[in-house]
Amino acid sequence: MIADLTRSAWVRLPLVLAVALALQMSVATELRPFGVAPDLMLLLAVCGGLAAGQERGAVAGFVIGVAFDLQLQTPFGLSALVYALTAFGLGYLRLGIERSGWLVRSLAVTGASAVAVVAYALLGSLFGMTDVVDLGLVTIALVVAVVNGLLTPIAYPLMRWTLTAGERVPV
Amino acid sequence: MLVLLSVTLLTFDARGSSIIDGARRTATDVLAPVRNAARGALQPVEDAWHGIFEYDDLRRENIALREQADLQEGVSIANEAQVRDYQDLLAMNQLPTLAGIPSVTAQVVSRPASNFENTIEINQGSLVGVRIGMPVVAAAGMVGRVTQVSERRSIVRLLTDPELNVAVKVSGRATPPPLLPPPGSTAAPVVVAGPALPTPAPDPGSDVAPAPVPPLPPASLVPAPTTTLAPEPTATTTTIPSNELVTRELGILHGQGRDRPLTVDFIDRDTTVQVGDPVVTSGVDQSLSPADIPVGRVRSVGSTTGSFQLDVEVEPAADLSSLTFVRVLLYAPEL
Repeated sequence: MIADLTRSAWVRLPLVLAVALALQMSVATELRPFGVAPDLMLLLAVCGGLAAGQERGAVAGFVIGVAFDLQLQTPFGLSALVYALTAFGLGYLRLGIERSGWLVRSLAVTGASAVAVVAYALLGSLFGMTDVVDLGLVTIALVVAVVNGLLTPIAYPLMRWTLTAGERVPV
Repeated sequence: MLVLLSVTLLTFDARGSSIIDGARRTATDVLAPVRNAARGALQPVEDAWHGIFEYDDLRRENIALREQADLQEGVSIANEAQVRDYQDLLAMNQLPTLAGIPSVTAQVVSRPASNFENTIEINQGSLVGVRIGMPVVAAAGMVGRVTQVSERRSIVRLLTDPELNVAVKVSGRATPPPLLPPPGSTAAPVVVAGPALPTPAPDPGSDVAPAPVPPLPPASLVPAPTTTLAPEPTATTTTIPSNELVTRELGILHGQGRDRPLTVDFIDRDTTVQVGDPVVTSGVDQSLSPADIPVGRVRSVGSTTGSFQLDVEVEPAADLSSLTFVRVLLYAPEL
């Protein structure tokens, strides 16, 4: 499964990951629409699934999630699990989405992001996180989803370049 | 396979893996320079964002804070005098005081990166003596506790985190049953002679009598329900509840998540806790925090049918959403 990522992807992904992590941990923590921090790492994972398909996307999502988990105090592996599953799910559905325009892609990323945030909270509560499933979760899911949808025109080509290097990926 | 791997990692972390802790510390240190560079380069973007979206809020907050500062000035002077007396007393009795605990000032370099964690990152670490478990305070009161330390950085778990528990005491005022006078009688007020006492401005929304107040005599010796200062020309008259005794209820404080009040468990429902009562760390034996760090004030008190304890909610004294500088108390309890 690890071999699903090409050699060029293994070079590019750490670079993109380092920059995205730096942005997430510095700027995204300050620019909080409605008090909610954007989730750039989730955006990369979702766009990875959309751009590279279910298997490559899932591996990339897992790697992105582990890198993010290293910076957080939440259960280690939770981001990896959610990002991998989300990328896999969107990669599974990408055939119809990829043939559509950027608007459909943005909407797909918006929906997948919202589902991922809710899944993160639900799985987190299973793994010991308390008080994460409440009304505030709706605000977090909405803001993260909308911001990710708006940033899709930037993130999707970036992840396509990172994971596929322009090649056609079998669906 | 990835799901299995993720669940394995989650299980290891839940059981407390030193490998994962070490990896987290290393990742924090390795990424720190990159984050600093990114923050420096994108500071103008942050400033523009705050300027556009937070200007009105800041203006309103500024006006409110000015009013609050005026109100607090008198109280602050009086309190400072009392704190000095208190510290003298503690020193005379060779008891530890907060002022005697060394501390390290640190800058908050990162707020929570995820929407589901209640931590901040500070720019001081083990090189200056910071250790896991040390309490972290801001000017207004307790902020949280250090939960991860690398050489130059530390992660602080905020009070709002449900996993952080702090032993606290709630200083309330209990009203004992009146011994004198008998019910139904009207007692004459007790006149306290002496120099005039300054009357600090009342704190709106607080039920706590403003300081300073004269030492309270034992309830059994005071027949009147209130004490009134003599209305002399040079004296300021104030009314102070005299048959109240200060009570200190011990409990365990923990958070309920971001933007939600803190709660205190194990407060017996028969005790008198009122809205506005101050909450400070208890410093009980083997506590990770020294005594008397301000935590907040009681925001609401309720009770559930069938429960043996009160439902006490506390508003933290420090604004945990906009911390810039904090102090780590280099406090190591004798366990």
